[in-house]
Amino acid sequence: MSFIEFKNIKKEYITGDVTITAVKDCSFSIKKGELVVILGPSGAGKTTVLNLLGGMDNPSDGNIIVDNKEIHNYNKKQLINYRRNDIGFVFQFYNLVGNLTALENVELACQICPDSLDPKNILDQVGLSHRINSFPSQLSGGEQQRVAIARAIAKNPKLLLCDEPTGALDSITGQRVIELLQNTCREMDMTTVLITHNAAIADIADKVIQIKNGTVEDILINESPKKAEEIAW
Amino acid sequence: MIDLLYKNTLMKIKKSFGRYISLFIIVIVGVGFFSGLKGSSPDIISSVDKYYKEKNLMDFKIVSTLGLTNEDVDALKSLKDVNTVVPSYSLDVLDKGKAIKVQALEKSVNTVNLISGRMPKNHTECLADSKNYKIGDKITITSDVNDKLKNKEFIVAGTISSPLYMSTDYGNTTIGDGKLSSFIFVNKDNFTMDAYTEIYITAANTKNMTSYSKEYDALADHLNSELLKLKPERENARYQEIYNKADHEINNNQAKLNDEKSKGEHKLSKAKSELDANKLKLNNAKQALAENESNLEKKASSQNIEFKNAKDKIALGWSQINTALKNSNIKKEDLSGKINELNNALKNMKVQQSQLPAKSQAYAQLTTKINQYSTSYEGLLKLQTSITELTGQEKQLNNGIEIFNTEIEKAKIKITEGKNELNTNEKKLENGYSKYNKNLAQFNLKITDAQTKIDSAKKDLSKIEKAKWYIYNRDDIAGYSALKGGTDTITSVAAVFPIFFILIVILMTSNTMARMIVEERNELGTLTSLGFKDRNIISTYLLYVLSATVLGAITGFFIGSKIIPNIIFTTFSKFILPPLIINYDLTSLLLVLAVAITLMTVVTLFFCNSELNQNPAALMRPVPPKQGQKILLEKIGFIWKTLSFTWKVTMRNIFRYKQKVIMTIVGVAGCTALLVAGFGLKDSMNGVAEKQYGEIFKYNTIIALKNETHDMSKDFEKLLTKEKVENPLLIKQTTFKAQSGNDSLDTYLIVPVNEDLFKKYYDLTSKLTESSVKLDNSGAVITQKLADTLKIGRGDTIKIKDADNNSYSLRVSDIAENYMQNYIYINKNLYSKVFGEEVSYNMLVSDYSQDKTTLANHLLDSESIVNVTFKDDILKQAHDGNSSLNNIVVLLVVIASMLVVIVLYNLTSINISERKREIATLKVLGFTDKETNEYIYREAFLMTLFGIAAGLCLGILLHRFVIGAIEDDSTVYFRNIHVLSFVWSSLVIIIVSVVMQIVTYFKMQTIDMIESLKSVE
Repeated sequence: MSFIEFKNIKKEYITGDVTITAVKDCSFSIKKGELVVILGPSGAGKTTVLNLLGGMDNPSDGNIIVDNKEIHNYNKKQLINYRRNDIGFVFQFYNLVGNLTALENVELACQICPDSLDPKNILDQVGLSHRINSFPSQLSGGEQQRVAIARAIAKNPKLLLCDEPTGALDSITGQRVIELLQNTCREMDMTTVLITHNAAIADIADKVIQIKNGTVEDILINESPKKAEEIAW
Repeated sequence: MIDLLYKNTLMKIKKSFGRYISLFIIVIVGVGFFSGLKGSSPDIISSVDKYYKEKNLMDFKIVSTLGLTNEDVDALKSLKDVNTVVPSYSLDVLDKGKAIKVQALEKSVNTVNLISGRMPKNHTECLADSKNYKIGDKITITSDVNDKLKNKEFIVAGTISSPLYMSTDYGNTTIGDGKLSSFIFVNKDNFTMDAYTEIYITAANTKNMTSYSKEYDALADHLNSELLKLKPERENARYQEIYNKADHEINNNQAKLNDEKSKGEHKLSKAKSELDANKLKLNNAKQALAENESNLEKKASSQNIEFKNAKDKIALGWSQINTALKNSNIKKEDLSGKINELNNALKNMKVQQSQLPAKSQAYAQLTTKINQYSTSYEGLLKLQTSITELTGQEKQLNNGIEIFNTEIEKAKIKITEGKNELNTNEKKLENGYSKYNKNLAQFNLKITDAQTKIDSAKKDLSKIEKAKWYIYNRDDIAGYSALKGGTDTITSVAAVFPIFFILIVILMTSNTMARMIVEERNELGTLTSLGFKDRNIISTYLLYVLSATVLGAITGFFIGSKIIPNIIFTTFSKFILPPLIINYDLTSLLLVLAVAITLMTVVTLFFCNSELNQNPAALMRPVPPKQGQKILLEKIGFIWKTLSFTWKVTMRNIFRYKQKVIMTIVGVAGCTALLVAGFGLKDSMNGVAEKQYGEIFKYNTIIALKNETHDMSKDFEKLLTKEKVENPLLIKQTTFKAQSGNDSLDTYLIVPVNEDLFKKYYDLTSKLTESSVKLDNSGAVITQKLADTLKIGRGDTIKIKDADNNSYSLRVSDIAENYMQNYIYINKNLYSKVFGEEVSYNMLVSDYSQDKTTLANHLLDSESIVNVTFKDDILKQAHDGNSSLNNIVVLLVVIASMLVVIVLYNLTSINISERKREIATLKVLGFTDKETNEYIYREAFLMTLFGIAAGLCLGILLHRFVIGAIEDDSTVYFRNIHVLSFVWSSLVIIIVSVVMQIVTYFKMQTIDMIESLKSVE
């Protein structure tokens, strides 16, 4: 049994009398410690999959099994615990708490995690040690993204999920971020799933899941993933 | 490390301080007003209660028409519900023309509160009412207090307040112009009356009871019935005591009089008999004297006759003698000579003879000569003897006559003396008689007088009215029940108004929290995605709202509890009150806190949960705006076409964001309603008194007669005409309890002597027909409050009960418009029919346009009147009663306005914070500040206008509700609100709105375009 099993997942959004099927018949598996990239055009359903993996949404149908736990059956309380203890999430639009400094944003997450890492250290690793006391509104997009990443990593989760982490970053900063993610994944044996529409990034992944129109189009195994320093866009 | 979640909250508070503060202030205002208003009455009551307890204010006062004695005191002491019984004195006097009450200083009841100066040291000092006197003032009593007070002049040694005078209406009196204008207290032994004028009683077991409370009333009722039970026997006892004493005295006097009468009569009769005896004696003496005199006269005259006879005899004798003498030619003087001669001759002859022989011729001759001579001699001798005899006789006679005359004279003198004596005695006797008569007359007069006095005393005694006890309680203290009435009004206002406030507060705080939570859904999503438990997340919002609520509630509670009762207290300026003591009713605070915390927690939980029940992914997605739909207005082509773009946007926004719109309208409507109700209250109360006593009751004066009468006596009519009291109408005015089921209202029953004049003074308008009410035999006219409360209409029967619990039924013929007190009007025929007796009148109403004080003085002097009241005074009293309410209305309006400010500020800041992005975008697009402001504010203003309209209507309902709550059993307030009140209410809201617009203008300037656009959606 793989670390993560995603089986026949279907996700529908119903607003009023409008039903939107975001994901249908989606299945894949992920091994522990794998660095996975989910690739696909916008609107394909990538974020939905990530959200489902991260316990932030429930599938309309299908099974999700993470570390032998049947996530799809989890009630709200269980999902909260799941998110707390097992998941680190990096959002596309950062979702930092505006009233707290960069350091405090990371500390916030560490507060509730049982074996969290040192916030300052992680912020240092993302290259923001000089900006730890700034508020998100005082940081650029990239800096905010790095704080978000620091926050996710500092939680020391089993599963690190990143939604377009380099979407708003320049190539150099982006590369640095990818490097960080990869290192973390390797060094801390943290299963990492990354969403991007940037094909270059896919090269660093152990596995690339291609999603199109709400379903898995292809799963590619990368025998020799590139190192982050080696990629550029 | 402080929990960062909480630091987040603290930062939120700091960042959007306006929102937090407005929340805080809403709670302060709401809770403050609520607690303050709710605490006002209890604080005032407890302050005066403490005062009453400190001063040992009496619970009952007994007054008797025949005065009170130590026996009464003992009898009262024997009642088990009684604590102390203190007999005392009081007297109404005139001080320089003004009527004041002089009371005895007591140590154990009704003690005085020394405000300045000191207690009186002697009988010439007094303590005086601080409102009218100062230390050193001199009080000079001009009324007669001879056997009542030791002193007529007093110097004020100290000024005081007394719990017996709680308002500046000191009460009524029967002297002067009928109104007491002040009071003084003097040492008790200044009073020299022989009976007590009153007895004060304090009840037992009242230590833990508050004045005016139900338990106190129950206790007082109980003691009252005990006193009522004691009343007849004490009345009788006192009557008997006085009667017996007087009767005894009368009897004594009668006995004394009788005694004196008989003694006097005896003395007089003795004198009379003495006089009579003397008279008799005198008469007898007179008679005797007269007899003597007549006897004397007789004797004298007879004696004189005898004397005359004797004299005649002697005269005859003398004439005989003279004749003889003549015959003998001898003169009387010569007689003795002749005799001697003869004698000698004889002798010689005899010698001769002797010498002669016996038979001689010579002898014979001689003897014949001798015989001749002897015969002559004898004859002469005889003559001499006769003369001597006669002389002797005459002498004797003369002597006798002389003696007799002397004696007669003597006797006459004696008789004259006797006569004089008799005259003197007679005069004496006359004097004696006249003195006697005078004495008799005087005596009779004295006796008659004395008897008359005794008789009239007897008559008076029989006329003595039986003693009547009047049992007074605290309600008869000036201002005592008015104070309760005033606080009751506040209590009823406090029961209604603040709740409305609290509703608004709850609405606003809920709205704030709800919108805040919705606005921060993104953050909620983030936190829950990080794995924070719901309860942790919720607790941060609870921290936000509860900190504002709890701090606001506590602050508001203490500020409100301190300030508002003091403000309301100042409206009681017509009363003489001890300083206000603020009680912080902590149980009330805990209750308020409990309610506030519960409510806010529930609201917060509700909204948090409704967000957190969505999965985090959804939370982090922006809520898709409601599908832009064509609003209804768009369909009305011609209107839509004429609107400018910005107006179109405004309209669309309004119809799209219905919840926001409703919130604004409701918030504004609530505040407007409060303002309308506040202003409306003032409208409803002002003018009620004028209407009642100017349009309905048209009389100027109402006079209470001393004795009931069937019609006006000529003397009284004359007096009224003299005093220019015009068109007097006799009425009977008595009080009853009108009942229906469990409801019972106090009402007056009025019976006029004459229906035409009645119409002049009582202009009653029917509630049913809106025309004038007719008073006829068909039934009683009742006033509207009676009809409404007892649910009685025309044709129904109203039951009334008098003080002795006798019930009567009256058929209702009409319902009259009326605002103050309850009245039932019937004509005299109906009265006779229902009550079975001819009506006797006890009051008089009339016109009067001259000087009131003079009239009052004169009428009271006439002693047929007990009291004169003028319409102006009634109006003034009604106004004074309303003044506290007026001030409360001002307070309400001020606080409602404050609430408006806060509500609008709150709504505005929520508006802005929700639309930061929109506003920033507008700025980026190039809208000027003014245009940006208008864009946002146009909606708000439009909503405010709608809110005002709704609020004006809601206000009418709220006003009705509040009026209903405030009205007591005897008052009807106007239901209509003046147009001006609506105008004012709207104006206040609009002005605040405009001010808010200015505030938002400045606020929007601070919105950084870029920062807002940067913030992640």
